[in-house]
Amino acid sequence: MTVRECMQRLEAEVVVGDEWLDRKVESVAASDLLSDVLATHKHNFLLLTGLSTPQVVRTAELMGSVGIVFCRGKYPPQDAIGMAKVHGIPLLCTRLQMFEACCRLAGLGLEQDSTP
Amino acid sequence: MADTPIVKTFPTEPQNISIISELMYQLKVRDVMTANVATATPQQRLRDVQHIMRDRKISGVPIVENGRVVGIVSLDDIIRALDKGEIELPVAERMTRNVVTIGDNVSVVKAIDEMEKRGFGRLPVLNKDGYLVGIITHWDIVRKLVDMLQEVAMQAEQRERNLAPPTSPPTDHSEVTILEFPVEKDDFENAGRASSAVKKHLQQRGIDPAIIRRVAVAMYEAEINVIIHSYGGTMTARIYPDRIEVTALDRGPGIPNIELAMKEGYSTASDRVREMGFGAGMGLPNIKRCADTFEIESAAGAPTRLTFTVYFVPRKQ
Ligand SMILES: Nc1ncnc2c1ncn2[C@@H]1O[C@H](COP(=O)(O)OP(=O)(O)O)[C@@H](O)[C@H]1O
Ligand SMILES: [Mg+2]
Repeated sequence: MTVRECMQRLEAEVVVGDEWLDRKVESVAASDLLSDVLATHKHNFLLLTGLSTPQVVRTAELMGSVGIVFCRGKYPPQDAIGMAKVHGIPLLCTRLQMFEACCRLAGLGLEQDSTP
Repeated sequence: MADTPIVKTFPTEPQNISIISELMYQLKVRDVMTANVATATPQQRLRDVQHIMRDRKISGVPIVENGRVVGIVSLDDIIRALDKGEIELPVAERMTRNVVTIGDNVSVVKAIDEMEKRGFGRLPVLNKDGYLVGIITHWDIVRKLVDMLQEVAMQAEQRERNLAPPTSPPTDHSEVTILEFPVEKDDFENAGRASSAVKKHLQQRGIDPAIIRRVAVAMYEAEINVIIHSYGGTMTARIYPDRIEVTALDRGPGIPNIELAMKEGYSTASDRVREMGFGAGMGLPNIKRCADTFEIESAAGAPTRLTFTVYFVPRKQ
């Protein structure tokens, strides 16, 4: 799975990072709690969240996330966009709720992991 | 070990305006208007105005006499004149005389209000002496706001690029490098900058990415704690050839019960902090999990000092 394929399934729009859409997505982390995300053992994950703050980008950057999807029609603030550019993190927006978004990405061979 | 550590201090950045309504109130008509206005005189023909509109791709032309606006001709007026065979008439005979104008010192919000109220998409702009100095349209306002928003993103981008440690790391790794960062209370804007800069530094040293991730996560959680729970303090990273030692030292108010604070899920964070995605009570336990050594000293009414070490040796799976 690439970020682009996830984008298509989520009917998402690219805010920044067209050039990074061919990155491989190994797993998905979906949360509105950044501490949850910071505790995950997953690697090369796509981050789905209902938050839209610069700290989402910071968290993704520090965790080596391959991209962020802002759910429920949230749009990232401008400073988050600037940060994402520097760290090469594509930012996507979808109108889907987080649960629906997760459903669309389920069963696609993305790493299943029982640890958080 | 070295006797002269390399100390680099990173200042925090000033606050950034990112709210569109704030931008709109700050913006004056004169910041947004098109200053180079195409005008005509009352003595010219409507045909001349039609050509001005075509050449400049505009849909309204103020009619000016001695620097004063005496009328305006819109695209509708021209169409009507063409329809009725009046296009060769002097402008004075068909122009609208009651022109709604706006002052150049008025806020853009007021200008939008005025356009809506009067039903006009463009207003001639007058200076305080009543002379025509520009014209403002919806498009000018939208364009300027988009520019300003993009400017905010560009500034954030620039600040982020400047995060990189200012010099390349010492090639002689027997030295200790010390990176120091002030961390202010409630300063969410800069949250994680210390952790990010240290991450970059470790990357430049070629440290294993899995180890860097543990350092970055632990340091970020510690940094967030200083921001959300303390009066402010300092993050210090000491980088030795075989390990990194990070200290978060704040100015209080301290932790009354450390054992309780270490419990997963225990948190005293405010609702506002929770809305930002923090305050789940998982920070301290996560720092401990990521680190090879972990120590925390605190008491009610005292500073909190948290220190952890991560060795540059991969963990056994
Ligand atoms: N630097 C600090 N100063 C004061 N209290 C702190 C500090 N760090 C942690 N604490 C206390 O310990 C609790 C648990 O911290 P943590 O595990 O990071 O969870 P969280 O930050 O999500 O609340 C905090 O809610 C707070 O009461
Ligand atoms: Mg915490």
